[in-house]
Amino acid sequence: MPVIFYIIFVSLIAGALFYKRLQPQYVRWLLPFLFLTLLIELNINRQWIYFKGSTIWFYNIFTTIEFCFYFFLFSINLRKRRFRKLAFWFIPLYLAIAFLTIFFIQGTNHFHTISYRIASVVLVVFCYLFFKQLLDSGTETNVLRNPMFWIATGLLFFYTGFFFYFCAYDYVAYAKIPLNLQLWKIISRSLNILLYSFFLIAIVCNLKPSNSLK
Amino acid sequence: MQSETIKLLEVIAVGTILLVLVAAFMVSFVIAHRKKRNEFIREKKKMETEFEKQILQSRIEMQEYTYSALSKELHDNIGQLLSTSRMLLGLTERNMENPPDTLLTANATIGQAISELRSLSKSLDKEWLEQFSFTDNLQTEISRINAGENVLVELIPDGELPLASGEQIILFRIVQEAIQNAIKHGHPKNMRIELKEDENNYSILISDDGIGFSSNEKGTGMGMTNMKHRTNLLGGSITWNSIPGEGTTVCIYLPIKNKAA
Repeated sequence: MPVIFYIIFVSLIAGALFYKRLQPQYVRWLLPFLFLTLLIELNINRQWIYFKGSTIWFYNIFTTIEFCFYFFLFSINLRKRRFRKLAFWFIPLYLAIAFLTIFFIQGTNHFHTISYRIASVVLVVFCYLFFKQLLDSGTETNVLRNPMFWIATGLLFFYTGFFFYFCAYDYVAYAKIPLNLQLWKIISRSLNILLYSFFLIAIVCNLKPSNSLK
Repeated sequence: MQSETIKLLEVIAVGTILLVLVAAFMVSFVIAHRKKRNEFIREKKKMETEFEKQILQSRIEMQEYTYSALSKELHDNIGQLLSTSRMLLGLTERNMENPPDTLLTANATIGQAISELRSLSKSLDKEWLEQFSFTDNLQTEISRINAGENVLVELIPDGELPLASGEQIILFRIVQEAIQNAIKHGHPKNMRIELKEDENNYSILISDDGIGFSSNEKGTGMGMTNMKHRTNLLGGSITWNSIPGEGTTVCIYLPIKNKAA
């Protein structure tokens, strides 16, 4: 089983164990999201191994939900009102773009690269805005204990790392050469490990002190 | 065609590594810059606190200087004038066969005024106060106030205050101001000053049965602000709890770590 399953599993166990001590509230929302990720990845894995069936439509739906969740996280974590609004209103806009791409432009049997690229670039921009906000903050802030810092770090690595691959996806994805599959496996596995490890850190980095320690 | 795809894959691989490195650099920059900025903020806060402390210290020194000058003026000038007046009244009394009651009363009143003036003058004189402990000075101050018979102040001491002499004077001035504020604004009949020592704090509770005030009336008067700043200077804290019609309690907490070496 791929390593990311174990990382997600550990994140879920840690989240469940420290549920009452998780803070702020949005860290708790990571748990159902990770659970959904685990279910979908397990199902895709199973489908791919046993039935050799296409999993693209699964990914199309899941990645759309995933992006909406990330935009929502930024909409509550960006301090400037206009950026918060921008992140929030990008959710319905992105849903519309993804819908058009999946059903009218690229089709359900193709990965929605157009909307994926747009969302990746927007997410990287939001990560940049969030980091800038951390840099500009006039109050003493320990970024290492800020869950959103770790989430944004994971997203930044993941989507910048995948940027080149997805730019050329339509050209290389169907090329039947072993190097392509190898490269895909290396990039995908390492970036997924990074992303979910950072999510794990986000869950445990800012636990409320337990009553016994007060 | 295949070689072109391989070249493209190589470009993707290199590009991905480069972008991940840029992301890593960005994240490390945020962490490092934030760390530096936090240090700067801490340092700035420390300097501001230090600066405020110095300003407060010099303000206190200035006030003590004024109090001492006032004390000397009261003792050497007004005190002398009153003493001379009393001496003259005494002489007049002796020269008269049957001095009138008003003259005797005037003599006694001036005597009382001299005595109160002396004790007021002492309570203002830092050098005088430094000779005694906080509790002794407070007891003298209470006796002086009780002599006025307008308000009855009771002191419940608990050991000696673990503070250096200079700090004891600052604390004495805070308590003095709290008492004066209570008398001036609360018009109490009774006051109680309780000194308590526990494991972590030395606390002074000044309670009265005056008219009290509501939180809206609390305001941000200079008196209260000064008392707060002075208490902060001693590393402690001060709070006011008041119920309109029932009185006020001023609580001063000083951490025991302030114990004089």
